[in-house]
Amino acid sequence: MIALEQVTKVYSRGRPEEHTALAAVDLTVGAGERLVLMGPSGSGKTTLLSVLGTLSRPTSGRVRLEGRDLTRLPEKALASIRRRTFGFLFQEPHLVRGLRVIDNVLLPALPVHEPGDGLRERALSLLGKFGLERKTLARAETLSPGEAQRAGLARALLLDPQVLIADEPTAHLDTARSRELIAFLGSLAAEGKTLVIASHDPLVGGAGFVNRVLAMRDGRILEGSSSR
Amino acid sequence: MTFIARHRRLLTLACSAILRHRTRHVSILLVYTALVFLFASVVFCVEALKREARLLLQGAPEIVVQRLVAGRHEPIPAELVEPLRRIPGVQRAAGRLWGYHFDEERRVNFTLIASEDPRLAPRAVAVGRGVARLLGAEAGGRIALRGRGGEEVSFAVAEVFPSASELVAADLIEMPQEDLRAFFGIPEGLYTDITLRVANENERRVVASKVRGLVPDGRVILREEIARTYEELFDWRGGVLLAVFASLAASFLLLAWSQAAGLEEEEKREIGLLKAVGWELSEVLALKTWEAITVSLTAFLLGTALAYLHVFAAGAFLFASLMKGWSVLYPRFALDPALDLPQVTLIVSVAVVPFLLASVIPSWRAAATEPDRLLRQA
Repeated sequence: MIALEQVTKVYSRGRPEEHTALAAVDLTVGAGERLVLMGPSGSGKTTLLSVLGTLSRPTSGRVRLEGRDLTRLPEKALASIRRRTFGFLFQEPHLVRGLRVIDNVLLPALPVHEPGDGLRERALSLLGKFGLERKTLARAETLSPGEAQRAGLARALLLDPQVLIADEPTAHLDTARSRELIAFLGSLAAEGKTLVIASHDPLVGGAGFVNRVLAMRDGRILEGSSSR
Repeated sequence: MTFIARHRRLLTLACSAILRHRTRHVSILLVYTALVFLFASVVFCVEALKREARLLLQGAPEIVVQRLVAGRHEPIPAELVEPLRRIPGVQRAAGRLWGYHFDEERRVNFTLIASEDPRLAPRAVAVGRGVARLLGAEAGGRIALRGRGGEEVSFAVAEVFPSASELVAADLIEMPQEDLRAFFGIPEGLYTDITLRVANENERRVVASKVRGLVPDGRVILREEIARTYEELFDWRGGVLLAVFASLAASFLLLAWSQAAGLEEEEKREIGLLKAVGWELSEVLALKTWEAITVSLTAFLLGTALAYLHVFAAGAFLFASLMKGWSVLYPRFALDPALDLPQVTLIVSVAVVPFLLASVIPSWRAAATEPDRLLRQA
């Protein structure tokens, strides 16, 4: 479904602080696959997720989605792909302060959402599924870290993306909340969603729904990474 | 989704963004409103003064003929009145007597003019409101002016001119012709100038050229030239003020630009988030444009409304003396309220458009950045 071919990403190129975050990475993620990237901070996990999810263009190499080369697509086309194909769950939930939870969840669809298209109902249903039915009208900043992460997950799933990309989703959650979130991710895996997750958390790497774990270090995927 | 529905949603989100970043927006709004207020006040004041002058000049003679000797204005012989009246197109020709009187004590010039009103009795005057205020005169009272020989000449005040004429009549003292001749020592057979009535607008320039033939040492002044002089004068005074405000406006735009260019971390993060969840650049820009339009329009409406009240209800008290004249006899008059499309367009184009650009361009630069970078920076 998604293929990275010899993808390199260099930050601050040509400056003293130049840093190679990804070094000639090859990776294929199949439809319905549940992949976890593990590795220490600075190993390139977040950058790989960004390039894979079109949040960032590679310095060299190609990114293909169902065979289509995304590398040179104009920004407008990438925005459309992000909206239709990917849902993002960030390490920080990045909810917009001052906005109600329901409006945060509807944010991806705000410019395109039609009255009667069922998106509002879907947003409410997702919030209900994640135990936030009583928080729909609350301001985002009033949520606890766990609630905010679940609201972020609802937002990521609003437009029913084929691929959910999650970056350290349990980083700010206690064990109980982490298990809860992992259970939600498992339910998405059961629905056939493709999941690509970067995490330090052994709870995530060891989750039952995960069918491939890759280790990263210094911008490379290490050989001997496991498949289940 | 319809265009209107999409932009209504973006506008709603823009308003909530303004409230979220209220500290920054309120400070910009206050400064911005003050600038719009000053600029709009000048525009309203200049236009109203020009309109006022045009209205008052409607009653003035179309042509004034003066005599110059060695480049100086000298009395003109009365025998020229009749030949000038016979020029085709001239309905009426009349000699006019007037002059300036400097009041040493009050350091002010009055304009004395011979009245054509037969009801004005000998040693009676009609005075402008500025004169009345300065001399503490009122109808039925008396004023004293120091004559050529240094003696005080007393006049009865028969009338104080209505306030509507104050722009041109503030310093005016009208008296019978004989009194004025005696006061200035102008002998019979001489006038200060000669006025001509020429109803047909197309004939005025032709008449003026014929007058020049009859009075080779004369200066011919057309009413439209006086009107133009007034307009240029008010434009110039307005221009002086606007030049002062321009530096303030430039400082403000620099401030707006630097504020917008150094978008708060939270705003950058929001832009990065919107792009990450699939917003197109044009949608982010539309949102940011709505934010800028909301701030601009609020400042524009507030500033313009305050300027309207300042000029038309409060007599433009902040800079009335500069706009109306520097004389001790500041005219006091109420400007007729008026607001027309060219004025509003001018205010919008000068006050709103630069701010929109100063706000939207930095947002565009941020929105053109990769979402990953914006989210990492924040």
